Amino acid sequence: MKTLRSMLNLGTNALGTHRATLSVLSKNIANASTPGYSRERLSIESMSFGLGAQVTGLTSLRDTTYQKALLGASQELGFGQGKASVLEIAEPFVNDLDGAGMGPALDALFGALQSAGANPADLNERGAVLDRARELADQIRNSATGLESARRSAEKSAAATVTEVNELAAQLARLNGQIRDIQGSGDPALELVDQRDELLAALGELVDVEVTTQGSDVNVALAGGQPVVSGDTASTLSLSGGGSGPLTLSVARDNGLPLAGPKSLGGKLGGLLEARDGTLRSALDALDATAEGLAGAMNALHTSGFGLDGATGRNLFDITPGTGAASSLKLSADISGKPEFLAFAADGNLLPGDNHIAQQLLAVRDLKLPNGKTPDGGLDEVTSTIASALQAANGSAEGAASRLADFEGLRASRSGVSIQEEMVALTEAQRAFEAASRILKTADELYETVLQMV
Amino acid sequence: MQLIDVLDQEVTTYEALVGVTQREHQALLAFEPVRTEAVLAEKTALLERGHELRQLRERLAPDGLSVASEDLPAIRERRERLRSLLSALSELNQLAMLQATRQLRWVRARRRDLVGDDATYGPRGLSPFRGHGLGLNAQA
Repeated sequence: MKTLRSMLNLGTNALGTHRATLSVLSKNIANASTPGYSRERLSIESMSFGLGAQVTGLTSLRDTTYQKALLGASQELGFGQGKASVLEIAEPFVNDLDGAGMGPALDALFGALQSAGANPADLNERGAVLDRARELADQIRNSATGLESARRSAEKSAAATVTEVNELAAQLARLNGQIRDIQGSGDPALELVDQRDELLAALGELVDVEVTTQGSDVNVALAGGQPVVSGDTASTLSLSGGGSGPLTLSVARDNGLPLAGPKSLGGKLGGLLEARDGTLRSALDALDATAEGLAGAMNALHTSGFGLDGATGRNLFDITPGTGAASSLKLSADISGKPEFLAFAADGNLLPGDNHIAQQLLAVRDLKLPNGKTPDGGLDEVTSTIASALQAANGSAEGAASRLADFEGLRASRSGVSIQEEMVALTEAQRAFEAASRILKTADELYETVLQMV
Repeated sequence: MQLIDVLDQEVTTYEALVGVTQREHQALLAFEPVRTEAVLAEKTALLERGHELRQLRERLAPDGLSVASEDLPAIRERRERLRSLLSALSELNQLAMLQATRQLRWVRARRRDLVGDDATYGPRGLSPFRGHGLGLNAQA
């Protein structure tokens, strides 16, 4: 039975190939729904001297071109979504969609001033002016509070995102070490490489990163060049600043390179910082300037006028100038609840019929404030800053999501498990093995017949 | 053609079949459908050749080889060689059949898993499929 022994020896290599092939087929099918899994194929070559076949390698059909495109789209999606998530909190505080925002309140004040100007001695008309002035102050203050609240929310989200980035960086560094060790022993460690790709995509959604490969390692750096992951070492990111000032991102193991600004930081973190320290800061500055300009212009007129009691020098609004002015805007305590103290007269001797100051207060509607805008234009700027930035962020996120889906589809068609392809492979295998079975049966009958006759 | 010539050709054919069956068994063991199919054409041709030679031998030795080989050592030698080859081939064949059956069982089980289980179709940008037990229909 030399032939049989020889054949069984030859079968040793074949058995190894068999185990590897079935394992790969099973793994591909089992991972058809696993995000980021790249299907695998065995490389099989014939051995010399008729010694059969051997597995020469296991390759993952990942497509790095699409993976880079996916990373870019993920970063844009994260940026748009991060920014939009913050602006969506702020937007209801500044829009006039329900007719109760700052713009309608300003219109109502000037409408009340117009009516009161026609009847300067009428306490009901004066009371309406006080009510409308209080409502305007409340609306502006509420808007400022809403914008500050959105900034605080962005700060919390940014802190949570930085924690998430640090965790992902630590996991990536660990995987780099594991992959290096396993690949050093000859195993391609494809599953760990897939896991690492998934972590990179998740990291890319959070922050703009540059990914480079060095041997079996992937190194990750921020857009400004600061290392996040170098081999099996991870840096630690942290945020500083806050309050009314900007947030600053720093890297614990800083290499001295300056950090890029929030816009180029990218990803969700970039979007959060851009919304907090860009859009919302601009809107708050515009609101502060408008509130301060409006209160200043009206107070200047009102302090020069006379109330029905003949007194002068009273403010219409109380406000603390500078940053946070809008948050401090209130109806002046000097006149609160006292409509007769409203100073509509320019001449104390012409009371109660003089309405010159009331007319001048009304003219503030078209006055250019120190910020170069009318009160209405200044409040519009606040609303439009938030609304247009929100619209742009949502549009950018939608575009990125669409591209991401396209790239994901393309990547999956190259690297992902196609059940259709696995079915084709199984069908071909079934056909071949069924044909072999039929011929083996025929051969068996022939051999038996011939053996009986010789 | 003389009986000895036919026997020599039969020996050559079955020796070739041993080689082919070894390769077939190896391809089956390794789960290599392409190599398995490639071997089949060669094997079929050799089996047909073996069948033709058997018929030719039966015409030349209608009473069988045991009678014909009684007085001829050359025929007896070839007959022994033939019996040895056929025994080996029969055993090889049994082992190959065992492997083919095992591989078929595995392939059919995997196909059943795929056709009958919607959950195995991943949301990876490919056309989704739904199994009806009758094959696969693209769902757009």
